Amino acid sequence: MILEQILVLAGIIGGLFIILSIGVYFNRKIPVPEGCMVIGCDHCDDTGCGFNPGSVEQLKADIKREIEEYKVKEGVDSE
Amino acid sequence: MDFNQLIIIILSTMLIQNIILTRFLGICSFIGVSTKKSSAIGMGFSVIFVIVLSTVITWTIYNHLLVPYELEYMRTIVFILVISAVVQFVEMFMKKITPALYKVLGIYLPLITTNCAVLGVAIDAIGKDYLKSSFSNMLAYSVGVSLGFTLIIYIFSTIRIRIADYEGELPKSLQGAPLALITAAIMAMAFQGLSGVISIG
Repeated sequence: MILEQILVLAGIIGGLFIILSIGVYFNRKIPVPEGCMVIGCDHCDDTGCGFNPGSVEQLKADIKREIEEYKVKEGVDSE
Repeated sequence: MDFNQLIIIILSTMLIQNIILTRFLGICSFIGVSTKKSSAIGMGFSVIFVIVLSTVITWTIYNHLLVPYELEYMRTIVFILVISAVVQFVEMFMKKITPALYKVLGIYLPLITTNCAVLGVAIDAIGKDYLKSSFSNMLAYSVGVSLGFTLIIYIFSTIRIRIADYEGELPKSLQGAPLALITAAIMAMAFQGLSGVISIG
């Protein structure tokens, strides 16, 4: 019975893995429709969201601007 | 097969024991995709297809392979593999046949795999007495649950579109997801009014 159980389990899990692999393989083979190449979303401008295509550039620009503002403010304070 | 019982199961799971409003399953896609009517309907139909197909397959595997060989404890792994495979095939067909819908659903399409409503229905189908003994009852249950999911996500999307016009007038802390959750809670209370109309096991 134990051997049967192991064989059946291996058959089920193995079979499902093969079906899943076939699905993944064909899914990757089919080209993504035009306009879907980059996963993005237009719901918000959240620069912290990884799905925002311009998030990295936007984030760098924001950090630069904040540093500049901080420097200016510090300069004013020190004077 | 009792036709009346099938209708009762479908109506009951659709309206009274709605999987989103009474058990809070599938909330991720419910909140995420309900900002547009088109994406809500698209997601609803994808979920109908995935839930019905995966429940039929998991029920068959469980009753005809796992139970006879006393391998019930492996059900979660087997069910997850079945759901993942079904979602891969749905994504593949959608890419080929309806690229527009594929574009609208975006990241939420592969996320159907992690939609707990799909796994919840598969586990219910083998756990409840009136479902595990009857294929037709199980089929009616999965159809009813997925139709209920689609109905609620569509109604919710229409409400959110109307609310969006006035969202700017609210405090910032209530805008977006908090307002969506409050709306969902009021919807759940409204649907509680139907409880007791029809009762199944």
